[in-house]
Amino acid sequence: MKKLKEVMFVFTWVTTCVVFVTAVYITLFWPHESLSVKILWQILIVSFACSAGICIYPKSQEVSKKTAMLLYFLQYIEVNVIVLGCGVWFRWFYIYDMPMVLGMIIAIAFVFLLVSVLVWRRDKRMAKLMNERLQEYKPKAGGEEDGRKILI
Amino acid sequence: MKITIVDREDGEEDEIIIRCRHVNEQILKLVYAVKAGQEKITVMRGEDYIQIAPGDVFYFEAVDNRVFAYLEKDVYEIKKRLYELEKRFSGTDFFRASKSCIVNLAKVSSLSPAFNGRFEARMKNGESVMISRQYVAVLKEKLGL
Repeated sequence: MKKLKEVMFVFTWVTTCVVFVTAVYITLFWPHESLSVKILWQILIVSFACSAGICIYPKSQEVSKKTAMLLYFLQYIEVNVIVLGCGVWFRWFYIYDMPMVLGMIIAIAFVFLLVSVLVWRRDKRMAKLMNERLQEYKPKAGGEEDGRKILI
Repeated sequence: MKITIVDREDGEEDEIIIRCRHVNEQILKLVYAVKAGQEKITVMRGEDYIQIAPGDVFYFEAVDNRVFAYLEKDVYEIKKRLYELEKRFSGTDFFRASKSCIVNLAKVSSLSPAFNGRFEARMKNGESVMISRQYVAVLKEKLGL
């Protein structure tokens, strides 16, 4: 359930970013194309497949910093494979058209980086909240009332 | 819950009286915490055995099938398994931070996010301990989040 929540959190951000990047991509490479509703389903499928990629992190297994970075890199490769593979399958670009392929790679890197920053910011907010609670958690002496010290 | 400390007369023994309707989990945890604070743990300093207060321990760490207690400056080996320590100090300031580490929350000065959903606990003696992804929930619960 927690994993699904995490996937859905990433999915929301990935979908938002992908819609934005798709708009830019279509404007640049398919300016005169009339698109069908299929593109929306395709965006959702690709976004979900990329978000589910976070499941490659072994939760039950503790990993070192090096392994964590390697997994992060593997996830980036995985996202590239998914998006480029789906892109070819859905005919978003022609594999022999270098500017289109390059545009896709740049778009993937942009979305991946943006989502990573957003996840980091969420963790930072959580850390701030935890630090606030940590300050409250520490034993603290209060004032005195009727000759008795009230601690809590 | 209201906690009151009353000055005692000279010569009187320190005493804790709990006034409650029912002994619930919170009360039991409090009792365990007080008991754990009073009890000493036996650790090894070279060939000698000495006793230390659990409250002085910053964290316990398992390294190569041996468990060590890290104090502010000293490190002692303890002849206990990590799961035994986890069980013994459940309901106290100690919490499991990773498969190999149990941290004393009272000795944590700050927390910061680390890579891959982990958090780093900066201890009051300047050391850092990693809280793995799967145990972040335990910490959150302990902090009431």
